Amino acid sequence: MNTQHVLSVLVNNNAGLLYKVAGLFSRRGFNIESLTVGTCELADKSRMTIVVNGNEATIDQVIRQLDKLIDVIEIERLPRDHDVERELVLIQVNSSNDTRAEMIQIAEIFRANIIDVSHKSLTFELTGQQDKINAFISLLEPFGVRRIVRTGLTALERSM
Amino acid sequence: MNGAEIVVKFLENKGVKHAFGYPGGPIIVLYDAIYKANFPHILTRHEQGAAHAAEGFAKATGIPGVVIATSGPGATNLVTGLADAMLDSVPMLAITGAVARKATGTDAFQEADITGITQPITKYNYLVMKPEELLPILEEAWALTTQDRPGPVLVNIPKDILAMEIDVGSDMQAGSTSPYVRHRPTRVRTSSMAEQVYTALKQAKKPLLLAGGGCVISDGTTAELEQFAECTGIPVATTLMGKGAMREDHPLYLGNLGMHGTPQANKALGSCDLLLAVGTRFSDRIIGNPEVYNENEDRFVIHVDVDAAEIGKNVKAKIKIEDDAFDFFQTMLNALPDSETCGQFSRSWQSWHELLANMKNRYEELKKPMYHPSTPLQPQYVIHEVAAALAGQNPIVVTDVGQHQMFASQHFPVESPRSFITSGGLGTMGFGLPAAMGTATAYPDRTTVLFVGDGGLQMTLQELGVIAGHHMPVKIFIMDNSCLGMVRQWQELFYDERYSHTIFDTNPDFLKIAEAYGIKSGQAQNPDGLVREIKAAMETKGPYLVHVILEKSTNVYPMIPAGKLPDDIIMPGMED
Repeated sequence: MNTQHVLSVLVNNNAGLLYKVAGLFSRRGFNIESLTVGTCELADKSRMTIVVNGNEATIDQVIRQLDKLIDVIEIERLPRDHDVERELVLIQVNSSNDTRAEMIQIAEIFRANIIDVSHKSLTFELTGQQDKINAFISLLEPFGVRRIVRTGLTALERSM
Repeated sequence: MNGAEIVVKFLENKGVKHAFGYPGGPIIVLYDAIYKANFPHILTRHEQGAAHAAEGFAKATGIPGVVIATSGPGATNLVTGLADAMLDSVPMLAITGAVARKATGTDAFQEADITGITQPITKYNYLVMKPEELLPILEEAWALTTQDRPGPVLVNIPKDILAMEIDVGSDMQAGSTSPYVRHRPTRVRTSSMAEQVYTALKQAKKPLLLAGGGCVISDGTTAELEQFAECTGIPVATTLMGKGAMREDHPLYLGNLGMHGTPQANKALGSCDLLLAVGTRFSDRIIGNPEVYNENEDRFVIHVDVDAAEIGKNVKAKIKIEDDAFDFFQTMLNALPDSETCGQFSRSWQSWHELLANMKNRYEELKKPMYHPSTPLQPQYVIHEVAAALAGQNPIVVTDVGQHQMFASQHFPVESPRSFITSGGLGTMGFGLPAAMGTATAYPDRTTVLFVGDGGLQMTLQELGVIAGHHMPVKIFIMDNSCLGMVRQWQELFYDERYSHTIFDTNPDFLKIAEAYGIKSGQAQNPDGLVREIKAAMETKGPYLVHVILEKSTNVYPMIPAGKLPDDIIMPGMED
C-alpha cells in the first residue's frame, strides 16, 4: 500500500550534495514528494526532510540506498503520530475593495499573515500542517489565486 | 612538494606498482612528477583502455587499479570503464586533471564537469578545491575503493593545485588523515542469524546455495564455501561473476546459472524451496524476472550481502544478513550445531540431489558432441581445446562481451577465484583486450588467455600497441564469426531473422594487423590448424594472436529468453 513517509536525514554540507540525493531518487525511480534542506545545529552539516510516497518495500530501499551515500550521516524515519510537521506557504490572491475584507477574515481564522498588499492583490503567509495549508488554499481559490509557493514539509521527531 | 608530487608520493606509499593512463593539458604537471620520480606507469593508447586495464588488474588481484587521465575528453573517455567498475564492484582509483580553479565553470578549454558526469557511476567522487584537502581526500578515496563493497572512486584535481607547493608536514608518513566518520546503523551480522539459517536449512527439501561475485571478491571465501557446502550437502550454483568461487569439478557444483547457465543450475534455481544467496544482487540476467521470481514469497530466500541496499532490492528475502561472504561462511561454520547434526541436513535432500545429478549427467552427455573436431570450427570446441591445453596451469581467462563470453563461461573451467575476468554487469564490448593488459601486468608469470570477438576487438584494437610494447604474455584468440554473434542470435530467434547491422563483411586482415604491431600470429580454420596455433601460442614468449575462423551461425545454448523464468530454459536435446 502506497503511503507518505517522512525521512529526516543528516548530511555533510558538501558541494553537490543536493545533486547526489536528488540524482539517487531520479535514477532509482523513487517517487519524491518534497525535499527541504537547510543548515542545522551542527557545523558543516545540514538536515534534510524528505517526503516519499511508496509501500513498505520501497521505503526500505530508499533508506538503504540513502544510507549508501557517503555524505549521509544519519537517517531517521519519523513516526507520523509522534513528530511535528510544518510547511510554509506564500499565496498571492486577486483582491478588490469588495473582496478584501472577506479574505482578511479567512486569514484571521487561519492565523495567516498578510505580507503584501496592492490595489489588486493580497499576499498571505501561512505556516502549519499540510492539511491546514490545503484548506486555506482551497478557501482562497474562488477569489483567483495568482501564484503559490510552498516550502515543502519540514519535520522533527517530538522529544520524549 | 607540489600537489603532483604529493599524488605520486601518495601512490608510492600505497604500494602502487602500476598505474595506467594518458597525459594531456592539466594533468601535465602530474606527468612531470611521474617522470621525475620514475613512477611505474603504463601508457595506453586511449583512456578507455587505461580504465579497463586498471579494472583487469583490480579484478585479478583485489588491489585497487589506478588510472590517470587529463581533463575534458581524457576524463570523459574513462566513463565506460568507471560504469563497468561500478556495476562489477571493482576497486579503482581514477585521478583526473581539471582546469585551474579560477577557470572552473567558464567552459574553459578541455573543461568538462567530470564529477557531475561520473556522480552516478562512481562510489564517490571529489573535486579538490582546497590544497590542504588534497592528501586527506586521496587517503579517503583510497580507503573507499575497497571498503565494504568495492567500487571506483574519482579524484579530480585542478591544475593549479597540482602545480602549487603544499605543506603536508609530517602527514605524508602518518597514514590516514581522513576525517571520514559516519554513524551507521548496526548491521545485521551472521552471528545473530546463524541459528535461524540452520533451522531453515533443516526444514528445506530442495535447497540451493547461490554464490555471486561477492564470493570471488571476498578473499578466502572459496575454502570456507566449499567446507560449508560439503558439511551441509547443499548444491551450489554460481553467477557469471561468481565463476571460480567453487572448484568446478566439485560434485556439489552445478555450474553457472542465469541466461546461459547450465540446465541443472537453472532447474535448481527455478525449483528450490530455499535459496541461500551470498554476494549477489539478483541481476535480471541471473533471475530472469526478479518481480515474478519470488512474488508470493513461496520460497525461503536468505540473502547475504555486504551492501545492505542490495538486500530486498530485486527479490524479497525472509532472512537478511548484511555481511561479507567470507565472514558469513566462517561464522556459519563456527556456529555449526555439531558434527552429527551436520550430516543430517542432506538426508532429506536425497531425491533433490538425484534430480539435479540426473540433469547434470544429461547435459554433460549433450556437451560431448560439441567437443568433436569439425570444420568450420565450432566455438565450444575451440574453447574446450584451449582450456585442455592450459589445464593445470591456472591461467587467467579474460573475455570480451557476447557469444564467445558465454561459451568461455560454459566451457572453460577456471582453477582459482579471480581467474575469470569479464564484464558482467555493464556488458562492455571492447573490455577484453585492455583488461588483459591489466591481468598480464598483475601476473606476468601466469598465462592470460583472451577470448574476444571480431566486433569487440575492433572497439579497443589500438591497445595491441601496449601489449606488443610491453611484451605482455597475452594469448589472444579472435573468435571471428564475421558478425555480432549475440545480437545476431537474438535477431534470429526473436526478430524473424532480420539481421539488421550485425553482419561484418569488411573485417580487416587481423594477421596483418598483428604483424603491423609486431605480434606473432597465425590463423586457425580447421581442427589441425587450431591445434597447431594453440601450441605456437603457448610456446611463444610474450603475446600471440590466433585468428580463429568460426562457423557463423552457431547459437549459445542453453538460453533463457530475456524476462523469462529459469524453467523457461531452452536447451536442444533436453526439451522435456
